[in-house]
Amino acid sequence: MKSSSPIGQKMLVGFLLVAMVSCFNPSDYEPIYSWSNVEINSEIKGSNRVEKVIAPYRVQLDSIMDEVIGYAAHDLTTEGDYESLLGIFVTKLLIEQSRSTFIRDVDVAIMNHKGGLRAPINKGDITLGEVYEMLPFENNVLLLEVPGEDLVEVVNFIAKSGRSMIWPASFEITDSGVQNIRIDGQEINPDETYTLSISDYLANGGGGFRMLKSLKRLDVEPVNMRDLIVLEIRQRTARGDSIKEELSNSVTVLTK
Amino acid sequence: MKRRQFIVQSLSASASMAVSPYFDRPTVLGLKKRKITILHTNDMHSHIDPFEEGRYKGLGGMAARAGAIDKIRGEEDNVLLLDSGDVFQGTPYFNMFGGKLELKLMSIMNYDATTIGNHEFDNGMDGLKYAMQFAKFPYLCSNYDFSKTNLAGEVQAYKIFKKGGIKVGVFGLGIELEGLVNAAMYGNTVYQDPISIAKEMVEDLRAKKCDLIVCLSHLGYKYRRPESPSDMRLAQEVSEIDVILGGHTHTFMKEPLLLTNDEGFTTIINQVGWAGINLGRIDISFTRNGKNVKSQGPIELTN
Repeated sequence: MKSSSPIGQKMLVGFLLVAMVSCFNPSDYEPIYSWSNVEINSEIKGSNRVEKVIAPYRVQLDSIMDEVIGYAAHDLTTEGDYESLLGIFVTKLLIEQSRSTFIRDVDVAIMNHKGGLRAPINKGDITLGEVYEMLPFENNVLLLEVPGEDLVEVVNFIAKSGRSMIWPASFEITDSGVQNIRIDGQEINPDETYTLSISDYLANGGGGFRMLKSLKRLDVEPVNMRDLIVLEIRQRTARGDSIKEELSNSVTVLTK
Repeated sequence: MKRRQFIVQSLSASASMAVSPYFDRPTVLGLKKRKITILHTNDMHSHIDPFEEGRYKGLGGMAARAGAIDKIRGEEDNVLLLDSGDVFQGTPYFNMFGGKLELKLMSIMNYDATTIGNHEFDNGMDGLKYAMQFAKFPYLCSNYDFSKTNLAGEVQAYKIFKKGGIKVGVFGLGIELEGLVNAAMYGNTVYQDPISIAKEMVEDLRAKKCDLIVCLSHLGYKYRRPESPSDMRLAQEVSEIDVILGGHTHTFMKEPLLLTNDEGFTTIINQVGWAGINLGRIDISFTRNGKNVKSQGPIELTN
């Protein structure tokens, strides 16, 4: 980031000289540009004035965010096609925590793991601050009633965008669309209504999920998604469990 | 007022060199050498402190950025310090303090303007309004209509800065909100087509005799779908924007892109990644003789 390549510079100079000649007039003036982006690194002497303003905020923040709330047995990231360890962790807990929080049957959960989860959980102690960095957004979790035929459309969108995960579901991606969709091992039933745990961001049509906007919402008080994640981690810690997940290989790609 | 465009057209349309009344009327009269230094950031995402781990370990941090800016201000007379949006969201500083600290620090650094990124809406309209009171610089955005919101009258489409005799018109552009931002958060904010609004902005700013037009864009650098508004599309479709300072796509550009569009106008597009890892710098000198472009090596900051 520090410097531009000399070859690139020469090419640009040459390119613009050509452009210059084509519209050159002695009485005209034109600006001369140069650029030099500066990398902000630890070799730069920081501003004391700014540092003094930050300090009390940092103390207040660290006193809360440095609390260790659990332990990760391995790194959980959003890497992977169609599913990721972090995505599995979050969709699974969305179902479990929604069931206990809302006291409803919940069939499936969807999370936009790519884009919605902004930082990994690294192996080792998990601090509250790490969870904030993973999910900085003030998203609420709510429940949607999804007719089976609409859920098929949703799964097709998920397969196409590749940015969200649905759990517990398996399906096959073919050149002509998605086939053999199973919800918790059962073949999807277009006539059945499924209860979906999801963020208000996606339910409002975010992440491309426009088809969700018109669906009926269950009459439950939405809860902050990060609060549910923190609750899950604290509960596992209280049980003596760490955070660990395995890939499920629930999506099969059959495209040519 | 399509000054440079007019010259190109008249040269190609006629063999005569002396057809344009603009030819013997330089926009800036009697200058020896005037220079302006544009410093800029985008998508700082509440990264108050340097990264503690990972691939960007040790990079960024607002105290270090302020140090770098102070040093450049000590060397240059005419500095314009601009930001292209998404100041908010990404570290617990935003969750705990709602953007207050970010904007306080930018005010101490004497930012001249920022624009409205999609994450500026993350705490809703009231959250944005609350935080904005800590910014001692304007929010510039021309294509969000806030007239039916609590921000009515608080966001300007553009602002003209005069630095060392150079008139710089700066306007802002925001990205389509539907499907990107929670609808409950942006309320009655109305998104308008950035390309057509940009054309209006350019006309206004040229009519007001700006020497330089700068766009603070949170549209994103470029997209696979060419119809999506982006900085590339903006430069292709709207002539006379001299500099686009971009954001949203977190694009680390090795050097600015100089895009010459079908009308022959060349726009400089720059974007410097995210999280305050880099401070963008573009120096522009106005001299009498001819158009020239050169780039220079990195500025050493070793004090």
